[in-house]
Amino acid sequence: MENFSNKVLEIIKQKAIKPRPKLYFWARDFVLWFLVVLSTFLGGLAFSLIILFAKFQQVGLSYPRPLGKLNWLLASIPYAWLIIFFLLISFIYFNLKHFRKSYKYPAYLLILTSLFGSVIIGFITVGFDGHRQINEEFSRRVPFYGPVFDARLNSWDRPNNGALAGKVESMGNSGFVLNDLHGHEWQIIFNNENNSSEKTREVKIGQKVIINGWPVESGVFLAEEVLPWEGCRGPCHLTCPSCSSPNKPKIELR
Amino acid sequence: MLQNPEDYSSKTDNELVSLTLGNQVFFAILMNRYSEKLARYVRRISNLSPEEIEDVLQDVFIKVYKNLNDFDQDLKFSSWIYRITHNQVISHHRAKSARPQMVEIDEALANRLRAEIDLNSEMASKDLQSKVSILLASLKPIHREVLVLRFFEEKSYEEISDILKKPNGSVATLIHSAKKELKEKYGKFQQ
Repeated sequence: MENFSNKVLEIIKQKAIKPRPKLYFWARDFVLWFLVVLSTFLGGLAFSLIILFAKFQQVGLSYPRPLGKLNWLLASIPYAWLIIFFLLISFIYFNLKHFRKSYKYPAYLLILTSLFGSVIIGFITVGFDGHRQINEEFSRRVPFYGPVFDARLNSWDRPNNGALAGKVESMGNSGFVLNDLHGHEWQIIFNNENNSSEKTREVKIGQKVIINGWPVESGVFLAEEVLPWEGCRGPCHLTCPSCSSPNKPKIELR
Repeated sequence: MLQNPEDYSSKTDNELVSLTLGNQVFFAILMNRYSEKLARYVRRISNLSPEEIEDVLQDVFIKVYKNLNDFDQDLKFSSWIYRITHNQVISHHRAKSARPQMVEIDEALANRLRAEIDLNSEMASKDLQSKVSILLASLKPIHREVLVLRFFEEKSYEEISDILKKPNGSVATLIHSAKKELKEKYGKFQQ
C-alpha cells in the first residue's frame, strides 16, 4: 500500500494538483445561501400576490352569479402566480438539500421550511400593502403581465356572469358610462340602495372599478356593488350621491 | 518523503488533514491508514477487479486531496472519505453499467450476517459463504451498501447517515428493508 500512496503522491506532484482554497468553498456556500434567500424572498412576493387576488376575488365570490360560482371561481384563480410560487418552493428545496447538514433532516421538513419562509415574507408584504404596489408596478412595466398574471382581467370580464370591470368615462343622473376591459361602452345603472353609508367613497371619472350586478340588456348593466379596481383595506364600496335611485328591473336567474 | 512516519501514526485524522494542508507529504499517512479499508469496502459493494479498485481509489484520494479545505471538522474523517468512495463507485458503475455477480466476503462475515438475519443455521458454512455472497450481489445496490456498511464495515447508524447522506430514520428503514429483501431472496434461493 506504500507503493500505492507514493504513486498517488507522484500523480499529485506531476499534475500540480493542489487543494482547492477555502475561498472556493466559502463562495460556493455563499451562492447557495444567496439563492435560497433570493428564492424565499421571491416566493414571498408571489405568495403575497396570490393573497391579493384571493382577497380581491372574495368580493366576487360572495355575490350570486347567473352562470354559477364555480364558473367564476375557476376563472379567478391566479394560475400563473401559483405555478411560479411552487416552482420557487421547489427551487428553494433543491438548494436546501445541498447544505452540509441538510441530509440529516427528512424531505418533508425541508419542504415545510421552504414554504414557511416564503409564506412569512408573503404575509409581511401584505401587512404593509406591498403586494398592491408590486402588482401595479408589474402591470405598468411588464409586457403581457395583465393577460397572463392578473387574474382579475379574466374573472371581471364576464358581464353575463354578473362581473364587469373598466374605467368610468362620464357620470349621469342614474349612473355612469363605463369603458370595459375591451374598450366597449356600458351604461351602468347605479343602485345606491345596497351600499352602506359607512365607509363608502364616491366613484370618480377616470377611476378603474369592478362591478357586481346584472346585465339588463346589451350595453346596460345594473350595478349592485361597485368597488375600486385596486381594492382597499376593509369595506370600500363606491357610491354615487348625485344619482337618484332607479326602479330596479326584475331579472330572473336561470 | 517523511523521515519518521511512525512519529505521526498517533496523530488523529483531523490533525493529519491540517498537516497535509501545510505539506502534502503527510497525505501519505492518511492514504496508508485508509487504502486497505477502502479497497475492501469497494470490493464488497462492487467486486471490481484489483486494477479497477486501484483506479477508483486513486480517484478517491485525489478528490480527497483537492477538497481537503471542504472537510467539515464536525464530521468524522472516515465518514467523509467513505462518502467520497461511495460516490466514486457509483460514478464508476454508471460509466461501466456494471453490476457485481458476487460480493467478496469471508466466513466470519457470512456467519455474522446469518445471525443478524436469522437464516437457516443448519446450512453448511461452505455453502453459506458463497450463497450469502451471491445473495448480496443480487440485492438492490442501496440495500447491499447499507448491509456492507453496517455488518462488514461496522459503521454506526450515525456514520452510515453521514456516508450516504440520509437521515438516521431512513438508514434504519433501509437496513430493515435490506434484511427483509435478503431473507426473501434466501427463501427463493433455497427453493
